[in-house]
Amino acid sequence: MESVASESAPKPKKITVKLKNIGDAPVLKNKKLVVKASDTLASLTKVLRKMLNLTLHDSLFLYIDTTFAPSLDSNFEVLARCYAVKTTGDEVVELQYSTTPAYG
Amino acid sequence: MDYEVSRKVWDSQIPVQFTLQAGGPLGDPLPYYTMLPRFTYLALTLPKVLSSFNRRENGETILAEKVHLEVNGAPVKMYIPVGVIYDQLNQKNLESEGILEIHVRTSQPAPLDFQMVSVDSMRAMFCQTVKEADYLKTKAEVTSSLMKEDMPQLWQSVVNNNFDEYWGMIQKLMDPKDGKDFLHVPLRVYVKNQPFKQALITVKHPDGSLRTIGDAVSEILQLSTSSEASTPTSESSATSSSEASSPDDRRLISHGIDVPRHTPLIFAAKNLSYPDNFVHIVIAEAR
Repeated sequence: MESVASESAPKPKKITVKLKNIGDAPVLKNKKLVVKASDTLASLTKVLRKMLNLTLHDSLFLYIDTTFAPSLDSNFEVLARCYAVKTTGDEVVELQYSTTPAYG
Repeated sequence: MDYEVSRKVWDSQIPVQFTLQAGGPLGDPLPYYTMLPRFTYLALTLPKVLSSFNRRENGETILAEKVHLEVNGAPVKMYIPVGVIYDQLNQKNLESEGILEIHVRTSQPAPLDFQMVSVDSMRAMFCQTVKEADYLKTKAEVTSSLMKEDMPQLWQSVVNNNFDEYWGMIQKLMDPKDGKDFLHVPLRVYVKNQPFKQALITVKHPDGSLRTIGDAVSEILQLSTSSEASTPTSESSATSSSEASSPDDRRLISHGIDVPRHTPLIFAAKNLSYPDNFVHIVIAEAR
């Protein structure tokens, strides 16, 4: 949090996203993505659909901490501030994806 | 929770007008006027509106999949509570006095940033938002211990505008039996022309004193990178600079009222939350 407050450079903040498949969802070759803080979950969903070669009829669900699906207009600034996981010092937003509804 | 406050919040309504520009030989149907509870969603109202429009003889039947909704010429979000939409328009921007005017448009294609939300997907989104709120409050302990029929019941209380049913359910979520403090307060802050903001905000300050809603909003706005710099559009950077002027000038609007800045955050969380379990605060400029 402190580092964010002192950061005055006007360049857009980037956020690392780590993706993990659940259920029968296809595995991604590249499980790490870097997105802009202003990107929304809806825009990531679009990118992910392409990466997974999903058709219009396939559904795609994204979850945090295998618990809930954040609303699609959440941007990554919000997701990082609320749900980033700190493993090796870097803030990472971890998302699970599924092609069927997985949790409640 | 305070029964009286919760009841008042539940009962507050807003006047809404739906218009349809149909064209054709029949002209436009009469506008549809209604009073909507602040907690409800356009996704729930649209089917009733369309069936009213479709009651005309010889009129072309208008399908939900073929329309999009606009307020003041901009696409409107069908999945946020109508009370929040109303507060965002902030009185002076409402087209005619105090009435929320929703334009139903049939022009194709729909704008890219409009999302049609069916009643079914609204139910799913609502349940996930309640879960997200509970994840912030209790690491989802409460929702994961709920019975299978509890969440659908909460949703039904919203659909049917049934306060008694709501009151029975909401206490389980707001006053958990173990009596533990909330870890964080589910709070979304809306600044004009910007995406909503949200952060991890605890009920108390590190010294043990209660955090106020004014403190919480300032913390959410201060630490926000997009309200400082690096805003993608010139429009939003212009509003953020005026918005950031002085925290004391900010008005915090929820349920159409100015929420006093010194309101304890925990009181707001328990009594001023919408049924989705989030407190929604719209920032308005000082009068």
